[in-house]
Amino acid sequence: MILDSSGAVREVVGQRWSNANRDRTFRLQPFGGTMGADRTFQGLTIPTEIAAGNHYGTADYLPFFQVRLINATYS
Amino acid sequence: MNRWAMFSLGTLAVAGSAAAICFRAYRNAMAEAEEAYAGLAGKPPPPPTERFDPAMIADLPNVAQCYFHHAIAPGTRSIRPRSSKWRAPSCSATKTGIRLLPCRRGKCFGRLTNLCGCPGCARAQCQLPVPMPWSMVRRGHDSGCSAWFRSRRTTHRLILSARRNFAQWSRAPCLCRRVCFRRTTSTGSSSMSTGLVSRSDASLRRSFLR
Repeated sequence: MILDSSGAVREVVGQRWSNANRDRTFRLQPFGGTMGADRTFQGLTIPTEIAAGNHYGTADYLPFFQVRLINATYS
Repeated sequence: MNRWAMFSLGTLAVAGSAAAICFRAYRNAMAEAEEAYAGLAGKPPPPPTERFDPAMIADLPNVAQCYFHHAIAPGTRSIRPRSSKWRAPSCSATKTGIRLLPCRRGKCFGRLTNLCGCPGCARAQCQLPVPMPWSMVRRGHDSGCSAWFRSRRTTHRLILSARRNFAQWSRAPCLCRRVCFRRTTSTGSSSMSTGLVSRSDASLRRSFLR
């Protein structure tokens, strides 16, 4: 995780077991993305603008998952 | 042994030593992280009545304290995620040459355009109810398409089919010409694709465009 000066998450990257690669073979490969904004729900502040995809940090990065979190509830 | 050979061997030795030092530092950092994770994973979950107190994280490194101070308001009780609502503000691929069709509740609407400013992105919105496990279908694989849509320059296809329809189309494979996205759930599978129409699929395309 990469945080900004206030402690907000701005980037996340990890290793994902996936075959979304040129060789179509399963292997660990970087998966991650960027977080653009935060909101607080029930006392917890979480990223609400997320773009993520396979091969984060490489030329093959494709942010196929782009969402805005509208609401979150906890129990 | 001449002077150049000795120089080369010396350079290799230095490079090898540097690589070994870096690898050892990496392994130490990974071992430390794994140990910390195992310690956290082994802890019992906090009681639901417990509330967050900054004193709980006073012994953590500064960067971790910074994160938790930002993420958890003091006094927040121990809670677990129950539900979340998401919206994809634009189509889910922005890399040049890859486009996804707009969809809502499993139905396609609108036409593909490139007016939103980001390369290769459709203008209309995609709404996704939950973060779905989309997987990429590479060029040459059966995309299982079930509908065709035309944009200004070319014809695109959209796959939003129940499993029974998917089986029907398996007899007439639609080979993805670019990159597709597909998800599979317990009730069926659906995919989004922008592959170009192949000639062998022309008759299928005509039947859908009627």
